[in-house]
Amino acid sequence: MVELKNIRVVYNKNQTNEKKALDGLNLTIKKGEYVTIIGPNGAGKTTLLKILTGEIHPEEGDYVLNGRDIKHPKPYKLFRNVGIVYQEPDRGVFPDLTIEENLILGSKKGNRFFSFGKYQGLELLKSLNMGLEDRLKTKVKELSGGQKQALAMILAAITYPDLLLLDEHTAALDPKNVEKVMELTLKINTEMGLTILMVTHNMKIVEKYAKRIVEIKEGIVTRDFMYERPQSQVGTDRIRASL
Amino acid sequence: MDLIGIIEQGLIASLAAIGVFISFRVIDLPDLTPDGSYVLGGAVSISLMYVGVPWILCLVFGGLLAGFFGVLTAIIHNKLGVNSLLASILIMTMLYSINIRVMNGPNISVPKETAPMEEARYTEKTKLDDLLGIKSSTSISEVDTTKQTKKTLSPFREKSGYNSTILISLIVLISVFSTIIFLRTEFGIALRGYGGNKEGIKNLGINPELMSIVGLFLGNFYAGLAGSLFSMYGGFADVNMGQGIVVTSLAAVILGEIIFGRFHLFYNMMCPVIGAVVYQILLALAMRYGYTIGFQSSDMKLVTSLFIIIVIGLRRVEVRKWLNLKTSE
Repeated sequence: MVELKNIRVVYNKNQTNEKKALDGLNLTIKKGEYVTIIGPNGAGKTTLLKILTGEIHPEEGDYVLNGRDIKHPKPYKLFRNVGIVYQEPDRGVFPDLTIEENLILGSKKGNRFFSFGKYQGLELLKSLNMGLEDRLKTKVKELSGGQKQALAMILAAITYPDLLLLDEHTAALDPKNVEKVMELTLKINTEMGLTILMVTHNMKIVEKYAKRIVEIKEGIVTRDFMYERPQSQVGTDRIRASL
Repeated sequence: MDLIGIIEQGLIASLAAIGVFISFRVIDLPDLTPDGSYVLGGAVSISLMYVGVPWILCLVFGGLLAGFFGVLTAIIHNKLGVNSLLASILIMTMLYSINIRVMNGPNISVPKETAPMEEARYTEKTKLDDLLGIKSSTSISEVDTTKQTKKTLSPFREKSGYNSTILISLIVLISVFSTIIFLRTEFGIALRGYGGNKEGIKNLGINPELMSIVGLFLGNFYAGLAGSLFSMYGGFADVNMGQGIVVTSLAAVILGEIIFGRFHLFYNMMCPVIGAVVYQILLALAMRYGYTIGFQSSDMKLVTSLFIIIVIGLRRVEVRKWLNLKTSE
Protein backbone atom coordinates (compact mmCIF):
# COMPACT_ATOMS: atom_id res chain seq x y z
CA MET A 1 0.00 0.00 0.00
CA VAL A 2 1.17 3.54 -0.81
CA GLU A 3 0.18 6.47 1.38
CA LEU A 4 0.94 10.10 0.71
CA LYS A 5 -0.17 12.36 3.56
CA ASN A 6 -0.30 16.14 3.28
CA ILE A 7 2.63 16.34 0.87
CA ARG A 8 3.96 19.84 0.24
CA VAL A 9 6.68 20.72 -2.27
CA VAL A 10 7.78 24.28 -2.98
CA TYR A 11 10.19 25.17 -5.76
CA ASN A 12 12.47 28.25 -5.45
CA LYS A 13 11.46 28.80 -1.83
CA ASN A 14 11.71 32.39 -0.51
CA GLN A 15 12.46 33.69 -3.99
CA THR A 16 10.38 35.92 -6.21
CA ASN A 17 9.52 32.97 -8.49
CA GLU A 18 8.44 30.68 -5.60
CA LYS A 19 6.01 27.99 -6.79
CA LYS A 20 3.95 25.52 -4.81
CA ALA A 21 4.14 22.31 -6.84
CA LEU A 22 2.23 20.15 -4.34
CA ASP A 23 0.10 21.85 -1.71
CA GLY A 24 -1.00 19.28 0.84
CA LEU A 25 -1.64 16.34 -1.48
CA ASN A 26 -3.24 13.22 0.02
CA LEU A 27 -3.42 9.94 -1.86
CA THR A 28 -3.77 6.30 -0.83
CA ILE A 29 -3.26 3.44 -3.27
CA LYS A 30 -4.13 -0.10 -2.25
CA LYS A 31 -2.08 -3.12 -3.28
CA GLY A 32 -2.94 -4.30 -6.80
CA GLU A 33 -4.77 -1.10 -7.76
CA TYR A 34 -4.47 0.53 -11.16
CA VAL A 35 -4.62 4.31 -10.74
CA THR A 36 -4.62 6.80 -13.60
CA ILE A 37 -3.46 10.33 -12.79
CA ILE A 38 -4.74 13.13 -15.00
CA GLY A 39 -4.46 16.90 -14.82
CA PRO A 40 -3.29 19.95 -16.77
CA ASN A 41 0.35 20.88 -17.29
CA GLY A 42 1.93 22.29 -14.13
CA ALA A 43 -0.62 20.55 -11.89
CA GLY A 44 2.09 18.66 -9.99
CA LYS A 45 1.99 15.24 -11.70
CA THR A 46 5.73 15.10 -12.44
CA THR A 47 6.55 16.33 -8.94
CA LEU A 48 4.37 13.54 -7.54
CA LEU A 49 6.36 10.97 -9.54
CA LYS A 50 9.64 12.50 -8.33
CA ILE A 51 8.46 12.16 -4.73
CA LEU A 52 7.49 8.53 -5.30
CA THR A 53 10.89 7.68 -6.83
CA GLY A 54 12.79 9.54 -4.10
CA GLU A 55 14.24 12.01 -6.57
CA ILE A 56 13.00 14.94 -4.45
CA HIS A 57 11.89 15.10 -0.83
CA PRO A 58 8.76 16.94 0.33
CA GLU A 59 8.97 20.02 2.54
CA GLU A 60 6.19 18.53 4.63
CA GLY A 61 4.17 15.35 4.75
CA ASP A 62 4.72 11.62 4.89
CA TYR A 63 5.39 9.05 2.20
CA VAL A 64 4.65 5.54 3.42
CA LEU A 65 5.37 2.55 1.17
CA ASN A 66 4.15 -0.83 2.45
CA GLY A 67 4.16 0.44 6.02
CA ARG A 68 7.67 1.86 5.70
CA ASP A 69 8.13 5.60 6.18
CA ILE A 70 10.31 6.79 3.32
CA LYS A 71 12.69 9.50 4.49
CA HIS A 72 15.61 10.62 2.30
CA PRO A 73 16.31 7.24 0.70
CA LYS A 74 19.10 6.64 -1.78
CA PRO A 75 17.15 6.71 -5.08
CA TYR A 76 18.69 3.46 -6.38
CA LYS A 77 17.62 1.69 -3.17
CA LEU A 78 14.06 3.01 -3.47
CA PHE A 79 14.01 1.77 -7.06
CA ARG A 80 14.21 -1.77 -5.65
CA ASN A 81 10.61 -1.19 -4.54
CA VAL A 82 9.44 1.34 -7.11
CA GLY A 83 9.68 0.70 -10.86
CA ILE A 84 9.27 3.38 -13.52
CA VAL A 85 8.73 3.50 -17.27
CA TYR A 86 9.26 6.85 -18.98
CA GLN A 87 7.87 8.36 -22.16
CA GLU A 88 11.12 7.80 -24.10
CA PRO A 89 11.60 4.07 -24.89
CA ASP A 90 15.43 4.34 -24.73
CA ARG A 91 15.38 5.36 -21.05
CA GLY A 92 14.10 2.01 -19.88
CA VAL A 93 16.21 -0.43 -21.89
CA PHE A 94 19.91 -1.15 -22.43
CA PRO A 95 20.59 -0.57 -26.14
CA ASP A 96 23.98 -2.29 -26.40
CA LEU A 97 22.79 -5.49 -24.72
CA THR A 98 20.73 -8.27 -26.30
CA ILE A 99 17.06 -8.82 -25.41
CA GLU A 100 18.10 -11.82 -23.30
CA GLU A 101 20.74 -9.79 -21.43
CA ASN A 102 18.14 -7.09 -20.81
CA LEU A 103 15.86 -9.71 -19.26
CA ILE A 104 18.73 -10.95 -17.08
CA LEU A 105 19.30 -7.37 -15.87
CA GLY A 106 15.58 -6.89 -15.32
CA SER A 107 15.46 -9.96 -13.13
CA LYS A 108 17.99 -8.35 -10.82
CA LYS A 109 16.53 -6.94 -7.65
CA GLY A 110 19.13 -5.03 -5.71
CA ASN A 111 22.06 -7.37 -5.25
CA ARG A 112 20.11 -10.52 -5.98
CA PHE A 113 19.22 -12.19 -9.25
CA PHE A 114 16.16 -14.35 -9.32
CA SER A 115 15.58 -16.68 -12.23
CA PHE A 116 11.80 -16.45 -11.85
CA GLY A 117 12.01 -12.87 -13.09
CA LYS A 118 13.65 -13.99 -16.34
CA TYR A 119 11.06 -16.74 -16.81
CA GLN A 120 8.23 -14.26 -16.22
CA GLY A 121 9.90 -11.87 -18.67
CA LEU A 122 9.96 -14.53 -21.38
CA GLU A 123 6.27 -15.31 -20.77
CA LEU A 124 5.38 -11.62 -21.10
CA LEU A 125 7.50 -11.36 -24.29
CA LYS A 126 5.55 -14.28 -25.80
CA SER A 127 2.22 -12.73 -24.86
CA LEU A 128 3.12 -9.55 -26.79
CA ASN A 129 3.05 -11.38 -30.16
CA MET A 130 5.82 -9.13 -31.45
CA GLY A 131 8.12 -12.07 -32.22
CA LEU A 132 10.68 -10.85 -29.71
CA GLU A 133 10.93 -14.23 -27.98
CA ASP A 134 12.58 -15.60 -31.14
CA ARG A 135 15.10 -12.76 -31.28
CA LEU A 136 16.64 -13.07 -27.84
CA LYS A 137 20.19 -12.58 -29.20
CA THR A 138 19.26 -9.38 -31.04
CA LYS A 139 20.67 -6.14 -29.68
CA VAL A 140 17.96 -3.88 -28.33
CA LYS A 141 19.18 -0.88 -30.34
CA GLU A 142 17.93 -2.71 -33.43
CA LEU A 143 14.32 -2.79 -32.14
CA SER A 144 11.56 -0.30 -32.99
CA GLY A 145 10.33 2.27 -30.47
CA GLY A 146 7.21 0.22 -29.65
CA GLN A 147 9.23 -2.95 -29.12
CA LYS A 148 11.69 -1.10 -26.89
CA GLN A 149 8.90 0.38 -24.79
CA ALA A 150 7.24 -3.03 -24.39
CA LEU A 151 10.59 -4.44 -23.28
CA ALA A 152 11.06 -1.50 -20.87
CA MET A 153 7.64 -2.34 -19.37
CA ILE A 154 8.64 -5.98 -18.95
CA LEU A 155 11.99 -5.07 -17.35
CA ALA A 156 10.26 -2.79 -14.87
CA ALA A 157 7.60 -5.40 -14.11
CA ILE A 158 9.79 -8.46 -13.57
CA THR A 159 11.59 -6.84 -10.64
CA TYR A 160 8.16 -7.16 -8.94
CA PRO A 161 8.13 -3.60 -7.56
CA ASP A 162 5.66 -2.62 -4.83
CA LEU A 163 4.63 0.26 -7.09
CA LEU A 164 5.05 0.58 -10.86
CA LEU A 165 5.01 4.15 -12.19
CA LEU A 166 4.17 4.86 -15.83
CA ASP A 167 5.07 8.39 -16.89
CA GLU A 168 3.12 8.95 -20.14
CA HIS A 169 4.66 5.72 -21.36
CA THR A 170 2.59 5.57 -24.55
CA ALA A 171 3.10 9.21 -25.62
CA ALA A 172 5.86 8.46 -28.13
CA LEU A 173 4.17 5.43 -29.71
CA ASP A 174 1.99 4.96 -32.78
CA PRO A 175 -1.66 3.83 -32.19
CA LYS A 176 -0.93 0.14 -32.92
CA ASN A 177 1.90 0.04 -30.39
CA VAL A 178 -0.14 2.07 -27.88
CA GLU A 179 -2.71 -0.73 -27.97
CA LYS A 180 -0.10 -3.45 -27.41
CA VAL A 181 1.69 -1.61 -24.61
CA MET A 182 -1.61 -0.82 -22.85
CA GLU A 183 -2.73 -4.44 -23.06
CA LEU A 184 0.61 -5.40 -21.54
CA THR A 185 0.01 -2.81 -18.82
CA LEU A 186 -3.35 -4.38 -17.94
CA LYS A 187 -1.83 -7.86 -18.00
CA ILE A 188 0.89 -6.79 -15.58
CA ASN A 189 -1.77 -5.34 -13.28
CA THR A 190 -4.30 -8.16 -13.41
CA GLU A 191 -2.14 -11.27 -13.87
CA MET A 192 0.99 -10.26 -11.92
CA GLY A 193 -0.99 -8.24 -9.38
CA LEU A 194 1.34 -5.23 -9.53
CA THR A 195 0.17 -1.87 -8.21
CA ILE A 196 0.29 0.67 -11.06
CA LEU A 197 0.19 4.46 -11.08
CA MET A 198 -0.06 5.83 -14.60
CA VAL A 199 0.23 9.48 -15.61
CA THR A 200 -1.29 10.37 -18.96
CA HIS A 201 -2.69 13.20 -21.04
CA ASN A 202 -4.25 10.82 -23.55
CA MET A 203 -8.01 10.80 -22.88
CA LYS A 204 -8.58 7.91 -25.31
CA ILE A 205 -6.40 5.74 -23.08
CA VAL A 206 -8.23 6.96 -20.00
CA GLU A 207 -11.61 6.08 -21.53
CA LYS A 208 -10.51 2.67 -22.71
CA TYR A 209 -8.30 1.40 -19.90
CA ALA A 210 -8.67 3.46 -16.70
CA LYS A 211 -10.08 1.91 -13.53
CA ARG A 212 -9.54 4.51 -10.83
CA ILE A 213 -8.99 8.09 -11.94
CA VAL A 214 -7.31 10.74 -9.80
CA GLU A 215 -7.31 14.32 -11.02
CA ILE A 216 -4.67 16.72 -9.73
CA LYS A 217 -4.92 20.49 -10.07
CA GLU A 218 -2.70 23.13 -8.48
CA GLY A 219 -0.94 20.58 -6.30
CA ILE A 220 -3.93 18.87 -4.73
CA VAL A 221 -6.27 15.99 -5.58
CA THR A 222 -9.44 17.56 -6.96
CA ARG A 223 -11.26 14.36 -7.96
CA ASP A 224 -10.78 10.69 -7.13
CA PHE A 225 -13.29 8.15 -8.46
CA MET A 226 -13.70 4.65 -9.88
CA TYR A 227 -14.36 4.85 -13.60
CA GLU A 228 -17.34 2.94 -14.86
CA ARG A 229 -16.93 2.41 -18.56
CA PRO A 230 -20.00 3.75 -20.46
CA GLN A 231 -21.84 1.41 -22.83
CA SER A 232 -22.82 4.00 -25.46
CA GLN A 233 -21.19 6.84 -27.44
CA VAL A 234 -23.44 9.34 -25.59
CA GLY A 235 -22.02 8.08 -22.32
CA THR A 236 -18.49 8.32 -23.69
CA ASP A 237 -19.06 11.91 -24.78
CA ARG A 238 -20.49 12.79 -21.35
CA ILE A 239 -17.49 11.28 -19.56
CA ARG A 240 -15.06 12.99 -21.92
CA ALA A 241 -16.77 16.32 -21.27
CA SER A 242 -16.60 15.77 -17.52
CA LEU A 243 -12.89 14.90 -17.69
CA MET B 1 63.39 -3.94 -38.19
CA ASP B 2 62.60 -6.61 -35.59
CA LEU B 3 58.98 -7.56 -36.33
CA ILE B 4 58.74 -9.84 -33.29
CA GLY B 5 59.89 -6.99 -31.03
CA ILE B 6 57.30 -4.64 -32.56
CA ILE B 7 54.53 -7.21 -32.03
CA GLU B 8 55.67 -7.75 -28.45
CA GLN B 9 55.51 -4.01 -27.77
CA GLY B 10 52.11 -3.88 -29.47
CA LEU B 11 50.83 -6.67 -27.24
CA ILE B 12 52.05 -4.88 -24.11
CA ALA B 13 50.37 -1.67 -25.31
CA SER B 14 47.19 -3.69 -25.95
CA LEU B 15 46.77 -4.19 -22.19
CA ALA B 16 46.56 -0.41 -21.73
CA ALA B 17 44.20 -0.30 -24.72
CA ILE B 18 41.96 -2.91 -23.00
CA GLY B 19 41.88 -0.59 -19.96
CA VAL B 20 40.93 2.41 -22.10
CA PHE B 21 38.37 0.24 -23.93
CA ILE B 22 36.71 -0.63 -20.59
CA SER B 23 36.48 2.97 -19.41
CA PHE B 24 35.59 4.63 -22.73
CA ARG B 25 33.51 1.92 -24.39
CA VAL B 26 32.17 -0.51 -21.78
CA ILE B 27 31.19 1.89 -18.97
CA ASP B 28 31.34 5.09 -21.05
CA LEU B 29 33.21 7.14 -18.43
CA PRO B 30 36.08 9.06 -20.06
CA ASP B 31 39.12 8.56 -17.82
CA LEU B 32 42.62 10.06 -18.12
CA THR B 33 43.94 8.38 -14.96
CA PRO B 34 45.86 5.77 -17.05
CA ASP B 35 48.39 8.50 -18.00
CA GLY B 36 49.51 8.29 -14.35
CA SER B 37 48.46 4.78 -13.36
CA TYR B 38 50.46 3.28 -16.26
CA VAL B 39 53.64 4.78 -14.75
CA LEU B 40 52.55 3.78 -11.24
CA GLY B 41 52.26 0.15 -12.35
CA GLY B 42 55.84 0.23 -13.65
CA ALA B 43 57.19 2.14 -10.64
CA VAL B 44 55.57 -0.18 -8.11
CA SER B 45 56.54 -3.40 -9.84
CA ILE B 46 60.21 -2.42 -10.28
CA SER B 47 60.41 -1.14 -6.69
CA LEU B 48 59.00 -4.47 -5.49
CA MET B 49 61.57 -6.34 -7.57
CA TYR B 50 64.29 -4.67 -5.48
CA VAL B 51 62.85 -6.25 -2.32
CA GLY B 52 62.70 -9.69 -3.88
CA VAL B 53 58.99 -10.06 -4.64
CA PRO B 54 58.47 -12.61 -7.49
CA TRP B 55 58.02 -10.84 -10.83
CA ILE B 56 54.51 -12.21 -11.39
CA LEU B 57 53.38 -10.75 -8.06
CA CYS B 58 55.12 -7.47 -8.95
CA LEU B 59 52.95 -7.33 -12.08
CA VAL B 60 49.78 -8.05 -10.12
CA PHE B 61 50.59 -5.52 -7.36
CA GLY B 62 51.46 -2.89 -9.98
CA GLY B 63 48.07 -3.45 -11.60
CA LEU B 64 46.15 -3.52 -8.30
CA LEU B 65 47.66 -0.27 -7.04
CA ALA B 66 46.97 1.40 -10.39
CA GLY B 67 43.40 0.09 -10.15
CA PHE B 68 43.10 1.62 -6.67
CA PHE B 69 43.71 5.07 -8.18
CA GLY B 70 40.95 4.33 -10.71
CA VAL B 71 38.69 3.71 -7.71
CA LEU B 72 39.73 7.11 -6.29
CA THR B 73 38.77 8.79 -9.58
CA ALA B 74 35.37 7.05 -9.43
CA ILE B 75 34.81 8.13 -5.81
CA ILE B 76 35.63 11.78 -6.61
CA HIS B 77 33.31 11.58 -9.62
CA ASN B 78 30.46 10.01 -7.60
CA LYS B 79 30.70 11.67 -4.22
CA LEU B 80 31.80 15.19 -5.20
CA GLY B 81 29.82 15.26 -8.44
CA VAL B 82 32.96 16.15 -10.42
CA ASN B 83 32.97 15.27 -14.12
CA SER B 84 34.90 12.01 -14.60
CA LEU B 85 37.36 13.69 -16.96
CA LEU B 86 38.24 16.40 -14.43
CA ALA B 87 38.39 13.87 -11.57
CA SER B 88 40.82 11.76 -13.59
CA ILE B 89 42.99 14.81 -14.45
CA LEU B 90 43.24 15.56 -10.70
CA ILE B 91 44.29 11.98 -9.90
CA MET B 92 46.67 11.88 -12.87
CA THR B 93 48.37 15.08 -11.64
CA MET B 94 48.54 13.63 -8.13
CA LEU B 95 50.13 10.47 -9.51
CA TYR B 96 53.03 12.43 -11.05
CA SER B 97 54.29 13.29 -7.55
CA ILE B 98 53.41 9.87 -6.13
CA ASN B 99 55.31 8.09 -8.92
CA ILE B 100 58.47 10.12 -8.19
CA ARG B 101 58.09 9.19 -4.49
CA VAL B 102 57.65 5.51 -5.35
CA MET B 103 60.70 5.47 -7.62
CA ASN B 104 62.65 7.78 -5.29
CA GLY B 105 63.48 9.82 -8.39
CA PRO B 106 62.18 10.49 -11.88
CA ASN B 107 63.08 7.00 -13.09
CA ILE B 108 64.16 3.59 -11.94
CA SER B 109 65.80 0.68 -13.72
CA VAL B 110 65.16 -3.01 -13.17
CA PRO B 111 67.61 -4.82 -10.87
CA LYS B 112 70.68 -5.89 -12.81
CA GLU B 113 72.25 -9.31 -12.86
CA THR B 114 75.45 -8.28 -11.03
CA ALA B 115 77.59 -10.52 -8.92
CA PRO B 116 77.94 -9.46 -5.26
CA MET B 117 81.67 -8.81 -5.78
CA GLU B 118 80.99 -6.56 -8.77
CA GLU B 119 78.25 -4.74 -6.88
CA ALA B 120 80.56 -4.18 -3.93
CA ARG B 121 83.14 -2.65 -6.29
CA TYR B 122 80.66 0.10 -7.18
CA THR B 123 79.86 0.80 -3.54
CA GLU B 124 83.41 0.38 -2.23
CA LYS B 125 84.86 3.13 -0.12
CA THR B 126 86.87 5.64 -2.17
CA LYS B 127 89.37 8.32 -1.26
CA LEU B 128 86.66 10.93 -1.89
CA ASP B 129 84.49 9.19 0.70
CA ASP B 130 87.36 9.57 3.19
CA LEU B 131 87.67 13.27 2.40
CA LEU B 132 83.89 13.84 2.73
CA GLY B 133 83.62 11.55 5.73
CA ILE B 134 81.14 9.18 4.06
CA LYS B 135 81.00 5.60 5.37
CA SER B 136 80.70 2.92 2.71
CA SER B 137 78.13 0.23 3.42
CA THR B 138 80.30 -2.57 2.05
CA SER B 139 83.87 -3.26 1.25
CA ILE B 140 85.21 -6.03 -0.95
CA SER B 141 86.74 -7.82 2.01
CA GLU B 142 83.31 -8.00 3.71
CA VAL B 143 81.49 -9.45 0.68
CA ASP B 144 80.26 -12.98 1.01
CA THR B 145 80.42 -14.18 -2.57
CA THR B 146 78.32 -17.25 -1.87
CA LYS B 147 75.40 -15.14 -0.68
CA GLN B 148 72.62 -14.84 -3.29
CA THR B 149 71.10 -11.46 -4.00
CA LYS B 150 67.49 -10.99 -2.82
CA LYS B 151 66.52 -8.88 -5.82
CA THR B 152 64.12 -10.26 -8.41
CA LEU B 153 65.39 -10.18 -11.95
CA SER B 154 63.29 -9.32 -14.99
CA PRO B 155 61.80 -12.30 -16.84
CA PHE B 156 62.73 -10.50 -20.08
CA ARG B 157 66.50 -10.51 -19.50
CA GLU B 158 68.67 -12.81 -21.55
CA LYS B 159 69.11 -16.32 -20.14
CA SER B 160 65.99 -15.90 -18.00
CA GLY B 161 64.61 -19.13 -19.39
CA TYR B 162 61.42 -17.43 -20.63
CA ASN B 163 60.49 -16.73 -24.22
CA SER B 164 59.36 -13.10 -24.11
CA THR B 165 56.88 -13.44 -27.02
CA ILE B 166 55.15 -16.45 -25.45
CA LEU B 167 55.14 -14.82 -22.01
CA ILE B 168 53.61 -11.55 -23.22
CA SER B 169 51.09 -13.36 -25.45
CA LEU B 170 50.06 -15.56 -22.54
CA ILE B 171 49.48 -12.56 -20.24
CA VAL B 172 47.45 -10.78 -22.95
CA LEU B 173 45.41 -13.92 -23.72
CA ILE B 174 44.60 -14.49 -20.04
CA SER B 175 43.61 -10.82 -19.70
CA VAL B 176 41.38 -10.85 -22.78
CA PHE B 177 39.57 -14.11 -22.01
CA SER B 178 39.12 -13.42 -18.29
CA THR B 179 37.64 -10.01 -19.22
CA ILE B 180 35.30 -11.60 -21.79
CA ILE B 181 34.16 -14.18 -19.21
CA PHE B 182 33.68 -11.47 -16.57
CA LEU B 183 31.67 -9.26 -18.93
CA ARG B 184 29.36 -12.19 -19.68
CA THR B 185 28.53 -12.76 -16.00
CA GLU B 186 25.44 -11.12 -14.48
CA PHE B 187 27.65 -8.45 -12.88
CA GLY B 188 29.44 -7.93 -16.19
CA ILE B 189 26.11 -7.50 -17.98
CA ALA B 190 25.15 -4.88 -15.38
CA LEU B 191 28.48 -3.12 -16.03
CA ARG B 192 27.83 -3.07 -19.78
CA GLY B 193 24.26 -1.97 -19.13
CA TYR B 194 25.59 0.92 -17.03
CA GLY B 195 27.69 2.06 -19.99
CA GLY B 196 24.65 2.19 -22.27
CA ASN B 197 22.06 3.57 -19.86
CA LYS B 198 23.19 4.87 -16.46
CA GLU B 199 19.70 6.00 -15.49
CA GLY B 200 18.26 2.61 -16.43
CA ILE B 201 20.66 0.82 -14.09
CA LYS B 202 19.59 3.07 -11.20
CA ASN B 203 15.94 2.44 -12.06
CA LEU B 204 16.49 -1.30 -11.65
CA GLY B 205 17.75 -0.74 -8.10
CA ILE B 206 21.40 -1.42 -8.99
CA ASN B 207 23.97 0.88 -7.37
CA PRO B 208 25.40 2.95 -10.26
CA GLU B 209 28.32 4.15 -8.12
CA LEU B 210 29.49 0.56 -7.67
CA MET B 211 29.45 0.10 -11.44
CA SER B 212 31.67 3.15 -12.02
CA ILE B 213 34.06 2.05 -9.25
CA VAL B 214 34.45 -1.48 -10.65
CA GLY B 215 34.74 -0.19 -14.24
CA LEU B 216 37.43 2.37 -13.48
CA PHE B 217 39.26 -0.11 -11.24
CA LEU B 218 39.44 -2.56 -14.14
CA GLY B 219 40.41 0.13 -16.65
CA ASN B 220 43.32 1.30 -14.52
CA PHE B 221 44.28 -2.22 -13.45
CA TYR B 222 45.01 -3.03 -17.09
CA ALA B 223 46.83 0.28 -17.58
CA GLY B 224 48.97 -0.50 -14.52
CA LEU B 225 49.58 -4.05 -15.74
CA ALA B 226 50.72 -2.67 -19.12
CA GLY B 227 53.03 -0.21 -17.33
CA SER B 228 54.49 -2.98 -15.18
CA LEU B 229 55.06 -5.26 -18.13
CA PHE B 230 56.53 -2.47 -20.25
CA SER B 231 58.94 -1.49 -17.46
CA MET B 232 60.15 -5.06 -17.01
CA TYR B 233 60.42 -5.45 -20.79
CA GLY B 234 62.19 -2.14 -21.35
CA GLY B 235 64.26 -2.38 -18.18
CA PHE B 236 63.14 0.90 -16.64
CA ALA B 237 60.21 3.02 -15.48
CA ASP B 238 60.16 6.74 -16.14
CA VAL B 239 57.80 9.36 -14.74
CA ASN B 240 57.01 10.61 -18.26
CA MET B 241 56.46 7.25 -19.93
CA GLY B 242 52.67 7.41 -19.47
CA GLN B 243 52.28 10.73 -21.25
CA GLY B 244 49.63 10.36 -23.96
CA ILE B 245 48.96 6.69 -23.20
CA VAL B 246 45.18 7.30 -23.17
CA VAL B 247 45.25 8.94 -26.60
CA THR B 248 47.43 6.26 -28.19
CA SER B 249 45.32 3.52 -26.59
CA LEU B 250 42.15 5.18 -27.85
CA ALA B 251 43.70 5.31 -31.32
CA ALA B 252 44.44 1.58 -31.01
CA VAL B 253 40.82 0.86 -29.98
CA ILE B 254 39.50 2.90 -32.92
CA LEU B 255 41.91 1.17 -35.32
CA GLY B 256 40.67 -2.18 -34.03
CA GLU B 257 37.06 -1.10 -34.49
CA ILE B 258 37.79 -0.11 -38.09
CA ILE B 259 39.19 -3.61 -38.65
CA PHE B 260 36.57 -5.59 -36.70
CA GLY B 261 33.53 -3.32 -36.49
CA ARG B 262 31.47 -3.26 -33.28
CA PHE B 263 29.35 -6.36 -33.33
CA HIS B 264 29.91 -9.04 -30.74
CA LEU B 265 31.53 -8.91 -27.32
CA PHE B 266 34.33 -11.29 -28.39
CA TYR B 267 35.24 -9.19 -31.44
CA ASN B 268 34.88 -6.01 -29.42
CA MET B 269 37.48 -7.28 -26.98
CA MET B 270 39.83 -8.12 -29.84
CA CYS B 271 39.67 -4.50 -31.09
CA PRO B 272 42.16 -3.08 -28.53
CA VAL B 273 44.56 -6.01 -29.01
CA ILE B 274 44.67 -6.05 -32.80
CA GLY B 275 44.45 -2.24 -32.89
CA ALA B 276 47.45 -1.83 -30.58
CA VAL B 277 49.60 -4.25 -32.60
CA VAL B 278 48.65 -2.55 -35.88
CA TYR B 279 49.30 0.86 -34.30
CA GLN B 280 52.75 -0.29 -33.17
CA ILE B 281 53.56 -1.54 -36.67
CA LEU B 282 52.43 1.78 -38.18
CA LEU B 283 54.54 3.60 -35.59
CA ALA B 284 57.61 1.55 -36.52
CA LEU B 285 57.02 2.12 -40.24
CA ALA B 286 56.62 5.85 -39.67
CA MET B 287 59.89 5.97 -37.74
CA ARG B 288 61.72 3.84 -40.32
CA TYR B 289 60.53 5.47 -43.53
CA GLY B 290 58.86 8.67 -42.36
CA TYR B 291 62.05 10.71 -42.73
CA THR B 292 61.62 10.60 -46.53
CA ILE B 293 58.62 12.94 -46.17
CA GLY B 294 60.22 14.94 -43.36
CA PHE B 295 58.46 13.03 -40.58
CA GLN B 296 60.09 13.00 -37.14
CA SER B 297 59.36 10.50 -34.36
CA SER B 298 58.17 13.41 -32.22
CA ASP B 299 55.42 14.05 -34.79
CA MET B 300 53.74 10.72 -33.89
CA LYS B 301 51.50 12.18 -31.18
CA LEU B 302 50.35 14.93 -33.54
CA VAL B 303 49.50 12.32 -36.18
CA THR B 304 47.76 10.08 -33.59
CA SER B 305 45.51 12.89 -32.38
CA LEU B 306 44.73 13.94 -35.94
CA PHE B 307 43.90 10.30 -36.74
CA ILE B 308 41.38 10.12 -33.86
CA ILE B 309 39.78 13.43 -34.90
CA ILE B 310 39.51 12.28 -38.53
CA VAL B 311 37.98 8.89 -37.58
CA ILE B 312 35.42 10.53 -35.26
CA GLY B 313 34.68 13.06 -37.99
CA LEU B 314 34.22 10.33 -40.60
CA ARG B 315 31.86 8.47 -38.29
CA ARG B 316 29.75 11.59 -37.97
CA VAL B 317 29.31 11.90 -41.69
CA GLU B 318 28.59 8.16 -41.82
CA VAL B 319 31.22 7.37 -44.42
CA ARG B 320 30.53 3.66 -43.93
CA LYS B 321 27.07 4.18 -45.40
CA TRP B 322 28.57 5.98 -48.39
CA LEU B 323 30.87 3.05 -48.92
CA ASN B 324 27.94 0.62 -48.46
CA LEU B 325 29.74 -1.20 -45.65
CA LYS B 326 27.52 -3.27 -43.38
CA THR B 327 27.73 -2.13 -39.79
CA SER B 328 25.65 -2.53 -36.67
CA GLU B 329 26.49 0.95 -35.44
